[in-house]
This record gives sequence, structure tokens and C-alpha cells, in this order.
Amino acid sequence: MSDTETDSVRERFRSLLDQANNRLVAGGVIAVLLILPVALNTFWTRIAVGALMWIGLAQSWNMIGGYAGYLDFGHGAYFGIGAFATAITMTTYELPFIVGLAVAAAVCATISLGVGIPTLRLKGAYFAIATWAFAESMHELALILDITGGTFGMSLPTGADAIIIPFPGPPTEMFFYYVMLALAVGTTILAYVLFERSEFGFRVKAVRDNEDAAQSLGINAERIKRQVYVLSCSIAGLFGGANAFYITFIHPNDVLDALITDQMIIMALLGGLGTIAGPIVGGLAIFMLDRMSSLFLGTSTLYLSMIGLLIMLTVLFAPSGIIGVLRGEVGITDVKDNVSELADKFNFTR
Amino acid sequence: MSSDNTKSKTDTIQTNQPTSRTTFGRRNLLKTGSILGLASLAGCAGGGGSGSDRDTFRFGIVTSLSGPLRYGGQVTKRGYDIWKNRINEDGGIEVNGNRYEVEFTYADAQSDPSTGADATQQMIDNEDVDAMLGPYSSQVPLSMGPILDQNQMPCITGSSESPQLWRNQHEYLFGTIPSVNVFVSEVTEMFLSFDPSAESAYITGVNGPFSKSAAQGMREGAEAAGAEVLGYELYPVDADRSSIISEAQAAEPDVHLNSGNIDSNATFMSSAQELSYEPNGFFQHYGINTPGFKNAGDAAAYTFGATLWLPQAGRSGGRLWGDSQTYADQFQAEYDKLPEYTEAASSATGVVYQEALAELGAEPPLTGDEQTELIGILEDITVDTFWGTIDYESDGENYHNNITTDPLAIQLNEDLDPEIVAPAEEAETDPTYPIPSWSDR
Amino acid sequence: MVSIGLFTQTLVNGLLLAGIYMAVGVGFSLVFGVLEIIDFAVGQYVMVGAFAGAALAPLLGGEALFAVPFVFAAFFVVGILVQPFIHHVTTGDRPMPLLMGLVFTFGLARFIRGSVLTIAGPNTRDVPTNIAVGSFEIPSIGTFPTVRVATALFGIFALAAFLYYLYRTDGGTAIRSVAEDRDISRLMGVNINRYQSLSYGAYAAVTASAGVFIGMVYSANVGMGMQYTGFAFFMIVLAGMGYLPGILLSGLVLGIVQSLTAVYLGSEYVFFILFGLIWVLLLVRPTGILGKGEVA
Repeated sequence: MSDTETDSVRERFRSLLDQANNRLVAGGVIAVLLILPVALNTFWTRIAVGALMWIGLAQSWNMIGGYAGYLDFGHGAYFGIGAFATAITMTTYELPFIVGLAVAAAVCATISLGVGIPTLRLKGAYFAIATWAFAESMHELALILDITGGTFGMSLPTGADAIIIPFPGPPTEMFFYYVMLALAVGTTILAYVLFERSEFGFRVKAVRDNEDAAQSLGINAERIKRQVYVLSCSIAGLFGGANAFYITFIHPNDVLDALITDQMIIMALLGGLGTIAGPIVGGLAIFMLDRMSSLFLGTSTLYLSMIGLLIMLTVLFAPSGIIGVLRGEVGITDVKDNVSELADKFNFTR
Repeated sequence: MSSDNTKSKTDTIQTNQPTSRTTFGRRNLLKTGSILGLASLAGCAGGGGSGSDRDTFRFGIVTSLSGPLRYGGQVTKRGYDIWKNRINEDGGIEVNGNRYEVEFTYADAQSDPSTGADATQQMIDNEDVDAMLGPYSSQVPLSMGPILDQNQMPCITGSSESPQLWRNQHEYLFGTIPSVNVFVSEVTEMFLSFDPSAESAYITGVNGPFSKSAAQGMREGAEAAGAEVLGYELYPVDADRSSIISEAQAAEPDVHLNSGNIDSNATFMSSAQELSYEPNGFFQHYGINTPGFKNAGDAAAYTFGATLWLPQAGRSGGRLWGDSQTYADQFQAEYDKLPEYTEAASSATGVVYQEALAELGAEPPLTGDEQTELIGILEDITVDTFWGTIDYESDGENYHNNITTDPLAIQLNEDLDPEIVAPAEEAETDPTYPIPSWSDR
Repeated sequence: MVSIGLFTQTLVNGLLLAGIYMAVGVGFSLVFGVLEIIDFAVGQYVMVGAFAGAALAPLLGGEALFAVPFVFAAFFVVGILVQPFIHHVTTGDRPMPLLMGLVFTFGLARFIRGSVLTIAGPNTRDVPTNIAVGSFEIPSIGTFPTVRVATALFGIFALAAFLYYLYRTDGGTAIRSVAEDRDISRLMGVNINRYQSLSYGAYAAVTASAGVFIGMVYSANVGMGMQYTGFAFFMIVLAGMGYLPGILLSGLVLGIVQSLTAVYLGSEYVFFILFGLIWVLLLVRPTGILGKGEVA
């Protein structure tokens, strides 16, 4: 097939999908997700819970990183802060889970506002390092403070009385599935509405593309950045709180680990930055790769190198991620051009 | 068609950012496809379910084969594997006059509690196991606890030493090794009573859950021995040791007590040598008799440590291995290294299961009721093994932890081999105390 | 507990640590100035260097010091080959070049770490030396462990060598011009590819060699890389991004602050203070303490 023929087939395929009744398809998928736990055993439900959580986390990073263009290398800190906020609310104050979640969101919103105001003044690499340093200092702080359990971590209550609605027994995997589902679907829909279907989204993207120009057009870049940052961090906090109740034991080395931010970023990047589908695809792919390799392949240090290689290749040849590839943004000619440009750089005589 | 042309033009111009026109259809197609894929996988995997016909006892093992805790994961694996090999050579576990071979299935907790929890659920749902053997460290078992309880799956961990685990009072979780603060404080007291008995001690340790508990145990032991604790410093595992050692040096304690993992302790000894820090003796927990500690070279010699078992401990009894030396020889033959107490404890845990299952008198596969009955049996029995006596507590702070095994104080001689120096009835030799100074070695 | 002896020894410890950190910071700063990327893989080069030292030492009579020239040469080549990839992802027609560069080096770091873990296994390796052993005492100042002194000397030497090359040779001038403005340099006939590769090659070489020394001090362990990445970040923020002479100051600050905090505040606080400092510094003085770094 010649290039033009491939293009038109692709275009036809694309428009076919675009013309599909979006709301109906979306509704259908959500309906499937709603009844899914019935078909899955507990183990697979747990897998689904994990996948949903990471999709949501990747979506939240995508808001500040993909749509707003600010490389937040400390996003994972809010996952941890939300986790500890929920844990403290539920153990020290013995309040129910829903309150714990609300507190998580509130605490993260407050902290991210306080952190964001000065930090968002930085650009590019400086912002990245600053947020990274902030996250690491939070990690260390949690290890020092007594209220977070210090180096022993915290255990959360596991009883049914931790949830307001009378439950027949302690919360099951199915309960957590629905919690994560609600959070993940909610985040996705929110992201879609805010960033793809509203004026707000245009303004955010304008800030990303050229902040000075956007500013000169009258867009309050400071306010936009702050809003996106606070929103995305609060969402990460919600997932952190939900996850804390789910795994019942949290420790700074696990929930405030730099790896959490890394994974969010890779998922968004691999899937496709600045798209709604990107974090879904990327999150699912990376999470499944990681979990399945450890559970079914026994010991596997090879997957670490593989992920590293995958990241490098994605950045080199498919920077707009899987979604970009599916959209036809990376064709054979693109790759060929890419490779020849790369080879050029090895030329030391010019 | 014209709209498509416009689109491709804008694609080439606006290359600064990815085009963000979402296609609901494609996105949902992907979503649906992947979830359907998952569900069909689930169907296949869920199919190999419970109640299958088998005449082997199947154990699920969740341990950290990767990540920072992988050393411990390998330790538990060796301990468990050699038990399985040995007992299958014998014909299997004996129940009611019949013998049933043992099967293992492993999952990697990746040193992460959340992965460990998922792995536990996998064992319960998909792997059709009768009982489980647990991991190294405390974080992973802490998140396994609720799942074990919810699904009534018995699990004994051959390796965790953290007191936190037992405070959470999980009904279906047991641990063979006594809580670290309990046995370390006993050995500290022994150490501090060597002649001339120490009047002051300086305590340091890595700021992690295990080593912090060990350091607390050291402090308890020091105070019980009537020594003055001149300093108590916990440091991050990555921290440079020189400042810590200089500070301790300035306080001039009689003895120095330090807790951490093997590498951390080896680095500590090297730094102490570099800075010529010379208390009357060093007590390190954990791992002085492991190969990794030898990285400290001649700085490692004469270090004191605590252990619950050594090949030369004159313990005997129980099924499968008559005594410590027999076990040690077989272990050496299989893995080309001497076993240390964690590996041995993991194997001894297998022996406990042998006794308990024999008493239960049920054939595999075990039903839910039988698994619950097994818990009661584990609480009640006292098992003599080559490792020592194992008896799990049925209540209190150390619920379901075995605290009956007697700890031993050891010291590395100048060839870096461990020797038992206390208590007197088990000692091989007198301790070299005070230890020779750095320049005399 | 404020004895003079302890205080001076703490300073000595801090100074020697500073030397170690300088060895790591020097190449990193150069690469940031020239290639304008923050290389997440810096700590992993240290780690690989340490393992290389552990592997080569037995072949060289058990002396890791002899391994340094080989490690230097080998990683110079590695760096030259890696650089074009980094150059490629940070330029050209792609979205968010800065993010791409950061993420690429991040993937590189993961890849290096995973590969070493797979090849060498999880155990810690000793990096032996028979020359740099023991310590010497300077009365009323303190004890100086030989291996740390050697490492500090290497760090200072590396910094001096880099500065000499940059400010006193033609090649160095070319590199500095590329750092200042790549396009104009290209227009003026400077061979961009060559000098960028030289820079990255030198960086990889020095950092891996520093790794051999660090391995001698601490031993080689797969997880050791991350903290050096952190330290490197700290140093260039403090020094002012792209300002190479600043590494001397920031190395000193890092070493001495670490040492003093550990002794007089408590070791638990060391990393909290360090990371908090990076963050605060970037907020209030992103051009570094001396104000000579590139503008945020």
C-alpha cells in the first residue's frame, strides 16, 4: 500500500470511530465496568483495583504535566500525603473512611496551594527539580514525625465500622473496586470535560504552548497553573487515601517513594501526553506488565531493564505515545526520518 | 474530505504539542477490548479453582525475590526449598499412615506490601494452596494479614522479626523467629556482663522498622544490665557513617551496639576501623556470620552478634533432621554455604507444618474448616526441631510469635568464623574481650 | 557535648565527603551547561563505575586504583555513543523537548540499573584496594582515612582539570561557546556534535571513575546510585546551574552540612534538611548561592 492509500484508510477508520455515538459507547463501557466484579474472582478484582488506581493517577499527572506542560516530578508526594491524612483521620481520630477521603483531598488541596504559589513561578527543569526536592523532603519528614508513625509506618482499621453505611462485614475487594472505579471514572470524565470540552482547556493548552503569548492575550497564566496544580494534586491525594484503606498498612518508603511519581509519568508518556485516552492506555499497559511479570514469572529483574528500554524507545521514536501511534501520527516514513536524523548526530566530522 | 485535509495541515504546523482531539470511539474500544481481554483471562485462570483432586500438599509462598528485600527473599526461599526437597526424598508428609508429597508455588512480593497483598490473594484464589509460607521483613506480612484472616488461609513466616506484626493480632499469621527486640535484649545483657562488665554503652542503628526495633531491644538489654546509655542515634541507611562514629568516639563508651542490615553493618565496621574507633567491643545485629559481612575484611573480626541458631548449637530433635549438624551439612552440600539462623528457621517452619498436619489428620486438599482447625493446632503444639523448640504464643503482645527458642551470643574469631560465647551452657569458647585494638591485628 | 576534638573531626569528615561529591558534581554540571539536560542517570554511572571497579580489581592484582584508567577510557566511549541519542530527543520537531530529555535519561537510568542487577546479582561487592588503606592522624585536627583522602584528591583534580580545559584550551572555549548558544556556535563553525559528545563522554568517564573511588569507600551496591543523583541535583542547584566553578562551593556545603547536621542535630534530619534546602534555594535563589547560574 502506498503512503497515500494508507493515509486515507486511516482517515476513514478515524472518522468512522469519531462518528460513533460517543455517549452511547462510553455509557456501554461504564456499564460493563459496573458489573465486572461479578465475573471476576477476588484476585482479578484486586488487579482491577490496582489498574483503576494507576489510570486515575496517570490522569492526574497528565493534567499538570501533559495539558499544562509543567513537569511535576514530585506529584507522588500527594499520593502519600493523602494516604497519611486518611490514615491519621481514621486511626487517631477514629472517623469513618469517607471523612478520611475528604480530609485527604482537603489537606492536599491546601498544601499544594501553598507549595504551588511559589514553585509554579519556576519553569522547565527548575520546576521539575523543585517539585522533586519537595517530594523527597516530605518522604523524609514522614519518617521523622511521630504522627505518621515514623519509621514504623501506620496500620489502618480493617473493620466494618470504618464505613458509615452499614456493611455486613469488613470491606471487601468489591467495595474497593467500586471506590476506585468511581474515582477513576470521575477523574477521567472531569479531565475530559475540563480539558477537552471547555474554555478552560483551551486556556490551559495556550499556557503550555507559549506562556508569554498566552499572558499577552489576557490569560491569567498564574491562576490557571495554580488551579490545574491544586486540582491534580488533590485527585492524587484521593487515590492515596483510598489506597491506604485498601492495603491497610502504609509506610513512607512505599507511599512516598519517588517511584510512584516516576510510574505516573511513564504511564502518561507511554500512553500519550495531553490526551484523555493516553493515561488509560499507558496506565493499563505498564501496570499489567509490572504485576503480571512479578506474579506469574516469579523473579524477574529483567523487566526493570525492559521498562527502561521501553521508555527510551518511546521517547526516541513515538513521543506522542501509544495513542499517537494509533492515531497514525507515527508512520513508517516518520520513523525513517527520525532514524536518519538520529544517525546524523553521530557524524562528528561536520 | 476537506476537513480531513485541514486536519493534516494543522498536524504538520502544530508540532509543539500532541493533537488533542479525542476520539471517544477509539478510546472506548481500547478500554472495552482490554477489559474483555482481562475478563477472559480471569475466566481461564479462575477455572483452575478449588477442590481439585490432588494427593500432594500444596504450599503458596509469597516472598520478596526482587527489590531491596531480595536478599531476605532468597534466604527464605533456600530455607523452604531444602525442606521441600528433603521431605519429598523421604516420601512426603505423613498423615494417618499415608505419605503426601509437597508442592510449592512462588510469587514475588517485590518488597512492596501492595504487590505482596495481591500475591496472597492470587495464592488463595487461583493457586489452590492448602497453606502458605511467608516472607522476610515486616511490611509485606503486615498487609498480608487482613487478607489471610478474611480468607482463612494459614500462613507461617519463617523469617520476620518485627514486633509490629504480632501487635496487629492476625489470627491466621504465625512467625517462627522471636521478635527482634526480645532476643536482642537478652543477648545484649549477656554481652554487657562479659568480664570486665561494661558500665556504659553507645547505641546506633539504621532508621528502619526492623533495625529500630533491634536498637530498642539493645537499649532494654543495656539498661537491664545496669549500663549507662551514653547515646542513642538512628540514622538513614544511606547516611555516611563517619559522623556517627566520630560522635560515638567522643563519648568514649565501653561498648558500642549497632543495628542494621548486613551491608550497613559491614560498612559501619570499615568506617570504625578508618577512624580508629576502639571501644572494648562491638555488638552488631544482624548478620555478622553471613558472607556479606566479610566485605568489611579484617575489620569484621572479633565482632559480637546475636543469633538463634548455629550449626554447632547442640540442638536436636524433631522430624526430618535429627540435629543441627546434619542440617548444616545437607545445606552446605546443596547451596555451597553454611546456613544462618533465618534459613534454618524457614526450614524448621516446614517441620512445624509436618507435625501440625499430622495432628490434623486431614488429607489434601484441605477444606476451609480444616484450615481453621489447623490454626488451633498451631497454637497448641510445641515442636522440637533441629533448630530449637518452637511454640507459638496464643495471646499477648507476641501473639502467634514463637518466643521460646533460646538466643545465643556469638563472636567472629580472627578467621571470621562465628563461635558461640554465651550463655555458658552452650558456649564453645570464652569471648575475646576486650577486643584487640585495630593496630594489633 | 561540644568538644573541640569532635568538632574538628566532624569538619574533617565533611571536607572529605565534599571531595567525593565534587567528583560526581563536576561532570554533571558540565553536561547541564552544554547539553542543557538534567541527566537522571548520573547516579547510575557512579554505580556502574563501582561495579566495574569490583570486577576489574581482581584482574589487576586486587587493586581497584589501577582500574580507574580503564574505567575512564571505557566510559568515555560509552558517553560518546550515548550523547547523540540525548541530543536527538531534546531537539528537533518533537513536543516538550525538555520533558523528553529528562524522561529519556530516566529510562536510561532504569535500564542501567536493571541490567547491572540482572548481570551482577543483588549482592554487595567489595571494591578492594591495598594501597589506599588505613588512615593517618594529624594531631589536634583529626583522623583522615586514606581511601577518602584519595577520593577527595581525585575530585579536586577532576574539577581542576575540567576548569583548566574549559578556560585555557581551544577545545574548552568551543565547549563553552556551545554551552552559551548552540546555534550561533554552529554558525561560527564549531562542530556541535563533536564537542557535545566530548562533553558527555568526559562526564561519563569522570563520573564512572568517581564511582570506582566511591566503591572503595563504601563498596558496590546496586541501590547506591539514587542518592548520588540526589546529591548531584543539590550541587548544581546550589552552585548555580551550569556554573562549573560553583561545584567547589556546593560540594563543600553539601559535605559539611551533612556532617554537622548528623552530629549536632541528629542523623535522622540530614536528608530532610538537604532536600528541603534544594527546594527553598530554587524558590528564593535559583541562580545559586553565588548568583552565577543560568536564569530560571
